[in-house]
Amino acid sequence: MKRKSENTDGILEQFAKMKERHPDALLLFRIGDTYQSFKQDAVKASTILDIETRDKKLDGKEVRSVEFPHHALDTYLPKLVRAGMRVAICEQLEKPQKIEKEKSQSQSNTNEADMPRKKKEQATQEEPVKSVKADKPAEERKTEVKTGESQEAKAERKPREPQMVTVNGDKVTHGHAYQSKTNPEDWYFTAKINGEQLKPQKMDPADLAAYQKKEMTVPQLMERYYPTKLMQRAPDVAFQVANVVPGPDQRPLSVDKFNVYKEKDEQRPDFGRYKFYAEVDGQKMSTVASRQDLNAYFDRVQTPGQLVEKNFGERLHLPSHYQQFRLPEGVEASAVRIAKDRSDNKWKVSADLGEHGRTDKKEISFDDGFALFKTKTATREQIAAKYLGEDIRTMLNGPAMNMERSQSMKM
Amino acid sequence: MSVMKHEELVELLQEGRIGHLQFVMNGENAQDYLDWCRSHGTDPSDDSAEFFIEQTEIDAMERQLIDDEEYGLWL
Repeated sequence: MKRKSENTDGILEQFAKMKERHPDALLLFRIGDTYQSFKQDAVKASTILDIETRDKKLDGKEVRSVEFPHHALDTYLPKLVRAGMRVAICEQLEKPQKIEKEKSQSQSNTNEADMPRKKKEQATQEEPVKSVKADKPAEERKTEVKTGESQEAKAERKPREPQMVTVNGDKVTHGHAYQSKTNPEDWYFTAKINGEQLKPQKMDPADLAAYQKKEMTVPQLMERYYPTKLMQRAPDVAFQVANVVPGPDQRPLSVDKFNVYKEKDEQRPDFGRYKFYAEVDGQKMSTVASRQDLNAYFDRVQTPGQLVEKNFGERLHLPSHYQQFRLPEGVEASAVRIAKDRSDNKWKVSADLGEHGRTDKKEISFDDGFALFKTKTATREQIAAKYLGEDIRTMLNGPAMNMERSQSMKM
Repeated sequence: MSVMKHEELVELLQEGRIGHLQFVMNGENAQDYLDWCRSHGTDPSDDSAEFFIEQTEIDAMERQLIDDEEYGLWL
């Protein structure tokens, strides 16, 4: 890369002025293609960043300094901030026409994969963001640091119009994609709901490309990455009183407790996973929760009762659990066989699909067997659909067994 | 409870000197968490606090990017 010229005339004077105004900040000066720090700041930066200092001749004096390429700012700035430094970045002022050129270049790159990184300089710690004005001719070469004024000006901006309003009346704003600093290959989508920042969600590259081409809008990305934020919330009362779910024989089962926890037992295979815990009709149970259900619970779009039906339906032999399974059309109940396998003494289900053949035998769980034979909340067809549904669909869509086989065996 | 600096809390949590509940209750999201518990009919606990953090916590460095309206693609 071509190294930009390094005009360091008067840099020490600027350093002194800036230090006077911001004594607690570590100053980084953009000089040509590098960021440089001087004197005591150079020593601090050198220690934190583990880069060597050197003596540099500035304004006729030997001055301790450190420097790193400008593109390394993404790496070094977080390190400085994490080390507790307040960092002020002082940009070198350039000629207006050059700035204009760079600006148009930046805009033309907006839709490129390596996204525009405007105002990276603003990434400082807690304190009001500092950056450098570049609106004066280079001849003047005065470096200025924006202070609180720019923040106030920002605060006075008109409130942002919502990008969408959810069914709950929540206002979605600030929806946008951004590139991770820690893993630059990763892009995230985020937004605010009623001013609250949402946890960023890693974007699928296809979605990012579609968003860049404006083929995907913020509402569509919200639907994709925050579906439960957009769904109708369950009424408050559903979380304040014990939920009831219909059990076997229509007997109501009371959900006395429902919560979420992370498995802490390192010996368990589900260690570290989030699980639902429920106490239903005196029975205590837990199961690993899907991300979708965790979000639904967090955002209150599903009640504890609904989540119990979904996650513990089998355990509780609930009719509602089995009602979701249906055999494909054309498969009769008589085609289903549920029997104890003599070879291993386990209960298994299979289905005879006539000319499409017979499915493999699949072992059924104790609870499903219980629901079938004891509580009678499950039918043979439902059990077959639960275990064999996919296999049956595949086989029915495949060639019939009595059709002429392909000639692949011919030599 | 007084609000502590986020970095300080992260350190204490990572060292195991405080639990998730204390982490949330000493941070700036304490009220949000309590509201969440109330709206879910659950009592504040270490488990629910951990889940609340998992659902809402944003890394400090990422937050700086997110908040910068001139960084990223705002279409």
